[in-house]
Amino acid sequence: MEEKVRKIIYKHRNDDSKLLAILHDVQNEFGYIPEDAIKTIAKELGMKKGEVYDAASFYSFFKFKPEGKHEVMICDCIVCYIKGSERIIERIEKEFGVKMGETTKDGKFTFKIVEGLGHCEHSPVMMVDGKIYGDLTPDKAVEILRGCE
Amino acid sequence: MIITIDGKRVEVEEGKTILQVARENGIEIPALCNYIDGNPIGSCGLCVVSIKNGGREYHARACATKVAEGMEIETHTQEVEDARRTILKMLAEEHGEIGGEAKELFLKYGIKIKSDKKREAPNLLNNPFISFNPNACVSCFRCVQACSLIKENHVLVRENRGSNIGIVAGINEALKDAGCAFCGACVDACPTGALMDLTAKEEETKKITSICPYCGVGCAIDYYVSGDEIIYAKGSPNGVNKGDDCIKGRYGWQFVHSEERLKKPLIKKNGKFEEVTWDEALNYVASRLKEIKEKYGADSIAGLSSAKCTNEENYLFQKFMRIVVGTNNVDHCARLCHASTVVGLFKVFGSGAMTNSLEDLEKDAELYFVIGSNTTHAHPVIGTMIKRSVKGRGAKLIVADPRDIELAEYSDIHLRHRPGTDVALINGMMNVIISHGLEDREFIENRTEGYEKLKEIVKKYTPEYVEKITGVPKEDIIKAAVLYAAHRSAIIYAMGITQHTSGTANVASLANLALLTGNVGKRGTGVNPLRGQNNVQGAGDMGALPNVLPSYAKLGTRRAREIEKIWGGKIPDKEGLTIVEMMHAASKGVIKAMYIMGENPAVSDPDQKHVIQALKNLEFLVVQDLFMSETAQLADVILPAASSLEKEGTFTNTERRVQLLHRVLEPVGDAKPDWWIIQEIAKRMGAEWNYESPKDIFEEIRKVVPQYRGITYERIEKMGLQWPCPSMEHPGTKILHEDTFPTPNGLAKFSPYEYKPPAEEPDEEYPFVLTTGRTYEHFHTGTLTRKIDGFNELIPEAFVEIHPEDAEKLGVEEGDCIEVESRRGKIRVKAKIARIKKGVVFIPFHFAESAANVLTIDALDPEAKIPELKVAAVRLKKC
Repeated sequence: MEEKVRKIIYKHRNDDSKLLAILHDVQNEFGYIPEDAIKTIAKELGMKKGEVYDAASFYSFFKFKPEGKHEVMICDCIVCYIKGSERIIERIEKEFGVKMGETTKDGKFTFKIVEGLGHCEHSPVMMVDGKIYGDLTPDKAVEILRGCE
Repeated sequence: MIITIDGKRVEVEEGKTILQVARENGIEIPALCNYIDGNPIGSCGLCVVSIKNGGREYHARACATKVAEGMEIETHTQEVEDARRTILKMLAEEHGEIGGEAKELFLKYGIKIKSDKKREAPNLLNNPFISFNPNACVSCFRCVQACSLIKENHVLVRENRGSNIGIVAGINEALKDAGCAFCGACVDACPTGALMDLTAKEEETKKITSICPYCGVGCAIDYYVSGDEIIYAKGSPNGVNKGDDCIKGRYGWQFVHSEERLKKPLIKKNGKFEEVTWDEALNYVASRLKEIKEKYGADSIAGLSSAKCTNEENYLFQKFMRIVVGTNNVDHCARLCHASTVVGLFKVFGSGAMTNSLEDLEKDAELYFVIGSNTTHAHPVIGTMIKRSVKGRGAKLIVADPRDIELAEYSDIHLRHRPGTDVALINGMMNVIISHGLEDREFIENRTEGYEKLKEIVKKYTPEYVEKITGVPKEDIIKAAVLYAAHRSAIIYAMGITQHTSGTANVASLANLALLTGNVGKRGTGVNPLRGQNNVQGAGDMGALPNVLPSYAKLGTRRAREIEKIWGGKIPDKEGLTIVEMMHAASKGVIKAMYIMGENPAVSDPDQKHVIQALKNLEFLVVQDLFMSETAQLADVILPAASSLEKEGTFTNTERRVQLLHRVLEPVGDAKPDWWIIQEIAKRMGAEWNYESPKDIFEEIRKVVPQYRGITYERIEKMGLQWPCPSMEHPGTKILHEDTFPTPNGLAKFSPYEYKPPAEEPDEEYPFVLTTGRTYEHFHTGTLTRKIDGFNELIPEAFVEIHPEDAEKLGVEEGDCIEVESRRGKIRVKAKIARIKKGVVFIPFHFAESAANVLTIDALDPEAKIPELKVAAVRLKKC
């Protein structure tokens, strides 16, 4: 991993404000920002690890724990709520043995609650790896997820 | 510039903030987060004021807004006061346990702190010294600012933003894992009582300022005392440390309350120690010493004085050995740390002390050349000063050390030279300076002699040649030399330079380098040995050395005869033995008795097996200490001594500053100050001594030591004076050698040396180089620091630092047990994979159960008789 992080840092060696660019690339590479990557970045940039973490944790976009292979966002806005999103959430939590915000033990899925995916005409909706699925029922949601590799 | 504040027209300096101007004019604007003027955090918003200027009306934070011409400022309008009340209310509803100075602010605005909200504590809570209450923390970030801007540690940082914001250490780790220095700067910065010293409790305390008992920086520490107990302590703003402190200054006092303190005199009877009265113990010591002196002669007795004791006690100890016992066999642990400094600097400059002061080094050095000093660990307050100068004002830093010490992170160049090759490295730098024409010709011409000889000797030390010897790439040698010569540069060094068979040569070479570039006798320059113990400088000044008397007067000279007159006794002319020589003499049966005050040679001296055998071979051993040290266990009599927090006297710090101790506590049990004990033994051996207090002794020192003549207890009551201070009117000397050197002709003398390899080099049988030293948390043989639970929690046991590739070859992983063996013995320690030069390993010497000094060699520097504690050949294997 150190080698990969070093390569990313080297790529941005001429950038003025390179820290954020490096953090973005590290997250793209590993799916999150590992602690060891923070240490390597700090060492290479002449910073303390805490300084890197201070800057990175400002942005909710950066993750500091590994996430599942598939990112599942379930909309719990007022429209989806009226159309039964809570039942879908309940079912998924039971089916996959997790709470919202967590990752399944096999590392396959990370579930998140979001408010407003912009597809109210098909509510309730969820987004799996960037793709929208609408007009869900609890069964249909589980079926879609079971179909994921 | 004229502004109006609360209707009052005032003239103000440009560049100040509204908050500064208000405070200067006696207007109190509430502020929680403001800590360092000019570096506003701006998180609390309480200092908001209303401003009219150029037809505009607006509100702004007083801490972050600079004054401008014509500003009309109102600090307490209804509107801003309401806003403040709202902010405080919101804080009170979220944080139910706010305390500290903030509490008064809430009281003033009539706001009740009331909230049941419980916040999750970050992982930093897990540590032995600092408590954190998340329900009191209002995220003002004064602690973060203290950790970064004041201490340059950057351990405490912010996590997340918005309402989730909070403080964490590193990547939300325990303080220790995040690299915390436990300096307590965050605790001092916290306005809400969220961060506190764990020992602190709500109790009436009185503040007593004294000098820290640990290293030679000589920090003034404010001790907060209740009854006979220290509650907490912190760096005093009125000392050389200007409020800074380190883990040892802040928490290291805890040993004074240890259950293990010696409280009664002990005599070994039938192999067991038995408590006796002072009278019995003192009579016994005096009669045994008299007996041995009569039977074998005075030179069969030797004494070890101590760099942990006061000037007065060192003075009295050597006087006792010289005119009561009648021998010059007196030495102390400076032999093991800076003997080569005294000899080396004396040779070149005519005086063996640190040339400059902390104050000018902090303000004016453009470059620090730190060689053989792990400054942030061994002299942390100076380490912080260097970090602050590098980060804060752009000073340059060259580090020469085979280990990746913390300062290396801050350096422009890190020279990782092989242990014991310093002379080659320094000669190489001088070669580059001369070949590039960077020498200071005017200085050489007017202030020095012997330049031609230096030129001749360093000629062959080309960067190519030096690279072969030191392992440092020649480009780095050239870069370091040019940087050093091109700046106002200060050399800072410690045991990595002195503890070698080439110790004197190393020191003299550094002094040559400074002379060559004219970096002597000016602010921000010089050759600056950092003294390891609180009073190494003073113990030497007082003549606790076998070859010189107080003020470094030579034996058998006119000065010696003058001192005899003051003392009323005969001082022998024959030089005495040094520490290592004493041990050899003891093992051969030449030395029959030893009197050891405040030292632990059984752990601190090289080749431990031999030292212990020597001490066991003595007919009579007296040890005077705070604790049952490894040396005390071998004694016939143990005399319980008062610690430096329990007595008065003076210490002389690394920058020659004579500082007064104030008694913080009464001595524990029947423990007595060392000066009292020495005098009682002396009286029983026929001396007519009548010192009633350390001050009486100091008055005599003023007569004997010309450098101290102008110093009195009254003059140093608040702040110490730096010697030489020859008269009552003299202000003390901050920088040595400004106009002339204290040599017969006033010139400094270049004293070049050829490189000589260390006494024991690695070979096929013992392929690794062992180097030893201190950790940040512990001190020397651990007699004091290992009595403190928190320190033991942070560093519980010895370890060996090893390069990752060397570890891999041995099949060793972090934490594995390794057996380290030299020609003298072997120990077992845990492996610590570290960034250290390949082929070099490091073991701290604090731990008696796996003592690094079992392995070290007692080969001596021929001139200073300092042993080579920094280089020994060893082999390693997995246990």
